[in-house]
Amino acid sequence: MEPSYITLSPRDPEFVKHMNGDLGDGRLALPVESFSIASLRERITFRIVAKADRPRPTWIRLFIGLARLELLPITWAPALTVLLTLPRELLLRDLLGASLALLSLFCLHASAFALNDYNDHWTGPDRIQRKRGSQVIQKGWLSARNVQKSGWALLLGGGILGAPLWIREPLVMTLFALLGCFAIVGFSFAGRGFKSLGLGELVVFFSLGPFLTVGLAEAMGATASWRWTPLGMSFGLWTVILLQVRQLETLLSEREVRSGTLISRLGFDRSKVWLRWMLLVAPLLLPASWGWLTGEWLSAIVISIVGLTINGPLFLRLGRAASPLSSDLWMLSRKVLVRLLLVSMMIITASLLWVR
Amino acid sequence: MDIKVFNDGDFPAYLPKLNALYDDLFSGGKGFRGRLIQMMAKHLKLNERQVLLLSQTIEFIHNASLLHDDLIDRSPLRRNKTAAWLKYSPEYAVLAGDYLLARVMVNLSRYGNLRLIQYTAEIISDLLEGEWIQDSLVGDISVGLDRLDQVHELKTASLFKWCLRSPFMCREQYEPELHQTLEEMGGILGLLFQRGDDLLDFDVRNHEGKAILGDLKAGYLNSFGAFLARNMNEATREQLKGCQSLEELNNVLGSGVLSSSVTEFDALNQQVIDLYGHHVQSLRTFLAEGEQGLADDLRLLPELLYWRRT
Repeated sequence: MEPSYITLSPRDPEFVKHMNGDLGDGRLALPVESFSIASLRERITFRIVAKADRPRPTWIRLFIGLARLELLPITWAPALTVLLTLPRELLLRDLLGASLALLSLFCLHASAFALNDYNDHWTGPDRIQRKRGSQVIQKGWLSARNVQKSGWALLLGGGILGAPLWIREPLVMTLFALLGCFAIVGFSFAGRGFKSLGLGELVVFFSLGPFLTVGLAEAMGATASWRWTPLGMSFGLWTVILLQVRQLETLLSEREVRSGTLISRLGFDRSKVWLRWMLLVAPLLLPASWGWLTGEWLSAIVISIVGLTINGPLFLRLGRAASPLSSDLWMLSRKVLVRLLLVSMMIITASLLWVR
Repeated sequence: MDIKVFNDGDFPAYLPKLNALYDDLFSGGKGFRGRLIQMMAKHLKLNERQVLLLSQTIEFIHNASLLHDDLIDRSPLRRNKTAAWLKYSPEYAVLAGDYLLARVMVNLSRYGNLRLIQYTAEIISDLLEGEWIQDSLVGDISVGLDRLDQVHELKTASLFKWCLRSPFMCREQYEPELHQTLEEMGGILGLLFQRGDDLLDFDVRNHEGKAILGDLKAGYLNSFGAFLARNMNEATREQLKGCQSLEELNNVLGSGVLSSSVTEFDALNQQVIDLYGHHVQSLRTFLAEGEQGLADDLRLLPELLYWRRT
C-alpha cells in the first residue's frame, strides 16, 4: 500500500480516530507533522500506512520499550534499598509481600510511562521531538489507543499485586495509593497534566521519593517509617534531576509546546547552573541519607566519593554546552541515569552487606 | 514581471559607501525569494506596487541576514565577491544589515497592512533566533540532523513561509486553514532548500560550482554532514572535521559510502517531497479556478530547490 496523507484539526470528526492511531482495516495513522501545537489552530498531518508494512519488533522488545525498562532504577532502586534496610526479621517474615510490592511497583512504573507516552503524543512533545518517549507510537509498533489501554491495564495490575499489602495496612496503603494514582494520572493523563503548571517535578519528587520509601516501609510493618524520608527525598532528587536534564535536552521544543516546567522558566543559562549544582549535591545526599539510616558512615563516604567522581565529567559537559541543541547535551539524561544506577547499585550492595 | 529590488537612489546618497555596498550585495544574487514572490503574485493578480513591496521586503531581510552572517562567520567571500565586512568594514556591514531591516519596517508601515507588519516582525525574530542558535553550533561536530532541522526551521524555512503567506495577506485573505497549509508548505520548502544547498557542499548536483566542503572547513556540520556522521564514533567524527577535500572525505568514509549515503538521504527527502505534494493538493481547495496554476507551479518547486533541476 502506498502511503497517503491526511491533514486534520481537532475540530475534524476523524481527528480522534487518527490520533488514536488504528484506523481499522489494517491501516495505521502516524503523525508526521504538527503545527501550532497546543493552540486552537493545531493541525496534524498523518501518514496512512498499512500495518503489514510496518516492521514489528518482538514482543520482548515491544514490552521493554513500552515499559521503559531502562528507567526502572528510578522506581526499583528506592524500593530495594528500603527493603534491604528494614529490620531483617520484617523482611524475612514477609518475603512474598516484598516480592509483590516490587512487582506492583514494576506495573505502576510501566503504567506511568505508557500513559505519559500517550499524553505526550496528544499534547505534542513527542510529535515535535520524534525521538523522545518510548518510540512505540512514533514507529507504529502500537497504536496510541493500545498504548493507553496498556497503561490502564498495567495500573490495574499494579493495584491487584499490591492488594496483600493493602489488606495489611488498609489506611496507609489507601492513602499512598491515592497519592500514587494522583501522581500517575495527574502527570500522565489527558489534558496537559501537571507538567504545564510546573508541578510535574514536585509530583515526581514526592511520588518516586518519600511517598515511595515511607509508604513501602510502612506497608512492610516498619515502626518509625518516617526514618526513610531522607532516603526518599534523595532518590526523588535524582529522579527530578533526570527529568530536568531531559527537559534541557528538548528545551527548544518546549518553546513550541509552551510548558511551564522549572527548566523552561529558568531558561538555558540558569538551568545549566541549577543542574550542575544538583549533579554535585545528589551523589552526596543519597549516600548521606543512607548512612544516617544505617549508621554505616564509612561506606556512605566511599559511595559519595565515587558518586562525585563519576558525576564530575557530566558537570563539565553541561558547562560546555553552548545551546539547547549542543551535542554536549545529547544523551546527557542517559548518562545521568547510568550514574544513578551505579550509585544505587553501590547503596543496594552496601545494604546487603550491612551488619545490623 | 521582472522587478528590480534595488535601484540607485533607493537609499540616502549622503551616507558614504552605503549604495555601493548594496549595489555589490544585490547585483550578485539570484533573487530566488523575490522571484518566488513574483510567481505567487502573478497567479494571485497583485498589483505592481504590492509585488515590489513584497519582493523588496523579502530580499532585504534575506540580504540583511547575509551581511550579518558573513561577519559572524568571518567569510571572506559572498557570491564570489569580497564580503561586505571585509571590503568596507565590519561596522558598515552590521549597520547596512540593520538599515535594510529598518527599511523593511518603513516600507511595510507605509503600506499599512498591520497583520503583514506583525507577521514580518515575527519572521525576522525567528530568523534571528535561528542565527543565534546556529552560531552556538559552530565547531560542534556531533550535532544531530533532527537538531539542525530545528535551526533551519527558524532560519531558512521562516523566509519561505513568508514568501507563500504574504501575497495572500496583501490581498486581505486570512483564512486560518489556508495559512496553516502555506505555513506547512513553506516549512518543507525551506527544509528542502537547505538540504539541497547542503548537498552542494559535498559536490552533489553542484551545477552552480559552489565551493566544496566550505561548511566543514568553517567548523560547521550541515544537514548532510550530520546525516553522514550519524553512526560515527567520536574519533571518526574528528577525522571528518579535519577533511579538506573530497578525496580525504572518501578516505575517512570508505569506498562507496558517500554515494550510498546520498541515495539514502535522497530517499528520506523524497518522503518529505511527497508530504509537500499532499499540502499542494490541500491548497487547491482554497484557490479559485483561475488560480489553480499557482498550485501547479508550487508543485514543481522541490525539483528546483532540492534536486536542483531547472
